[in-house]
Amino acid sequence: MGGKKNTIDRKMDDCKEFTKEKHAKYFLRCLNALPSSLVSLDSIRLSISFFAISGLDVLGRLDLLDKHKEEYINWIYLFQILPNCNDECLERCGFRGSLAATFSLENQDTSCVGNVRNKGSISSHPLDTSHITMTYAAINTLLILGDDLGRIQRKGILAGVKALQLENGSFAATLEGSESDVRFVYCACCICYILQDWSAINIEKATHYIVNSISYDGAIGQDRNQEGHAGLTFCGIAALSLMGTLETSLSLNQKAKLVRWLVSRQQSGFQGRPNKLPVDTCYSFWVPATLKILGAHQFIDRKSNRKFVLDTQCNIIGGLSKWIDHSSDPLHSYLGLAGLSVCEETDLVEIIHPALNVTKRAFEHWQKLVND
Amino acid sequence: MHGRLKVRTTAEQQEIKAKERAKKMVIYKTAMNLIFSKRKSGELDDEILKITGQVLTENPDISTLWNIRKETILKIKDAMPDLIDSYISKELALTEQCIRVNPKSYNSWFHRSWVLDQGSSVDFHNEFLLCDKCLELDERNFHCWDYRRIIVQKSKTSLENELQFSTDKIQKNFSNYSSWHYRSELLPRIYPSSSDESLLDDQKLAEECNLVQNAIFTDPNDQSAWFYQRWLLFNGDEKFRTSSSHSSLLLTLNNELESCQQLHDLEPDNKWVKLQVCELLRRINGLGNETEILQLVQQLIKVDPLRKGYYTYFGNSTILMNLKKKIKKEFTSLILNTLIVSGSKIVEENQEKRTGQS
Repeated sequence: MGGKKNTIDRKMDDCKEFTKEKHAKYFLRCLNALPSSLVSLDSIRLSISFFAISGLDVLGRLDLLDKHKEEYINWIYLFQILPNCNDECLERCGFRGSLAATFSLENQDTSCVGNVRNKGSISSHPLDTSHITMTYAAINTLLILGDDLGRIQRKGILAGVKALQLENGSFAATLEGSESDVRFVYCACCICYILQDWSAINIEKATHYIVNSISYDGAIGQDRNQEGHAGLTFCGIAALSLMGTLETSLSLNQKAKLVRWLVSRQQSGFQGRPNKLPVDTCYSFWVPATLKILGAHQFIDRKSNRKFVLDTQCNIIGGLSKWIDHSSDPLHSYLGLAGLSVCEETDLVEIIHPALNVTKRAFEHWQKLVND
Repeated sequence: MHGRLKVRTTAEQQEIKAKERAKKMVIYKTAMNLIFSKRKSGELDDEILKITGQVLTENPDISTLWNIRKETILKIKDAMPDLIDSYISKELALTEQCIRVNPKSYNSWFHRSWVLDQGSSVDFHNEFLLCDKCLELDERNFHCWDYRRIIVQKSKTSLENELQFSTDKIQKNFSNYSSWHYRSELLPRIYPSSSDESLLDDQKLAEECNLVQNAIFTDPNDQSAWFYQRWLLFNGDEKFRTSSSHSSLLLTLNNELESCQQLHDLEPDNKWVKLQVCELLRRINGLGNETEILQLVQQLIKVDPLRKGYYTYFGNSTILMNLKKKIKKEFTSLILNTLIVSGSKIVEENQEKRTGQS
């Protein structure tokens, strides 16, 4: 009997204990102040708050924000760029990533702005424009917080999205110019899906662009003829699924090749490209989520993925890191947990909607908004 | 007590660190304030280039600062077109420094390719050297591979040259996945098949099969070559079935099967070779090879349990595919039989009629 008990104990020890509450505290801390090691992320503040707030949602601990929910919502709207009177410069609308380089707020006292029911600010400078990733992060976060999206400048945001689509179907991130690839196509699709208005996207061109970025091994790269990558593959497949063109645009053969490529990425956790080691926590989301959209997530070995993700937990301050025994950061903390959620691990309350990357609860809130 | 290192207490260390951090913070804030106030008053000059450059070498990922530099460069280009080339070379030096700080900085690589379009001439030799250096450090840096494709296009470098580059990279390291990928993109462009431009010319296909076989036999555990071989052999899957080159492909597949089976004898626990044998057997004669395929699937589950679900599916889909073929076959023969029976009946009836008439 004794021997039997020992084997059971050993099995339990195989996995690090899941320190849920510590992660919740970690996310709260990320919301309030960035650790000094991450200070360079200040210019993308909004995406950090998306990771933290959606992370709390995945943990089923959004209640920790209850008291301040309204303030957070107001704070997020502060990043919104409003159209000028007469709707001039509509295409600059959307969200900024940070207030650090904002010219229009110079005369405002930003410290108490969170308490005011604000909508954002008009940009006074021609280069004060939105960034599509930040617009995506803002709208998703508002949805998670239960906002009714009533203060969203739909007309401006859609004009902003429309202005960023290029001739080849892809999207740039900002009006001033940036690289353009499938990451920003994905953001555009999320925005239009949530706002239920596809007038801003030429779906045919965007679909064509994504299909053209498929590499010889079936995965999707940053552009035509570039090497496939799991993160970009997620963006591409999720975008096709949101646009409703996934079924018609890929042949059975293309899907089979992609599934084979994705399944081959699992080592314990997942790698982003073939032969890239060590495995990285964020791919525990990108790969399983893509497989789930394709209806092939049953091919994942959930147990070894779970073990790897839990091994990247930081026992002291909470959060998850990219690699085992490294320091945790908001992105990998969120994606690691979201990955477990996509794999339907039962100790995470909320199941992620794989293409939109929000929880089932937030998705149902969105459905209610649409139906009303 | 000479020669002893002073060991600071953690409290002391922390204090020093905090002071350094505070000092850095003041410098950063002063610099950013100066940049924004200069920009506001339209002073897009050497000084703003200097300060933004200093901040960017510390943190190359502040897009706003790169945009301010773009604005400044455009202004200089407009006002002093004779001097632009010297400014361009400074931009190139700065982005190179930033790439050293963070070789995966999207902003730095993007700024560099933007800069190339601003001057009157570009020394592409230098650009290729930079790529070489970067790929020496990290042969998988896709920012650098992508940048290389950009300068190939801008400098109108021949695709053959690039194919040679990829061959060199592969010969240095067979498992350079990025380089195999580069080939897959170049080859059909240089050696398109006469029947279909998206496919590879027969002769070149044979040569590539040879190259990739060398790689596979050198390191059968490396997936780069296996993925590449899969592309080479099965890329035209849908097209070949109906085309006239079907028989020549069948010959190639049989050759590959033979060498894969040899390798399988040498490496009985290798999952890649097992899977490739399955794929080949399925394409050559899925129905006739069913038992062998299913045996291999069972072995695959044993040697690579992480992908148990996928292999099980592979086995089941093979059975299903064969079932469909069998049904189709039986159905066809049933129809044929019916036709023959009813056909002969008609003949008989006609004969009876004829004999009745006569």
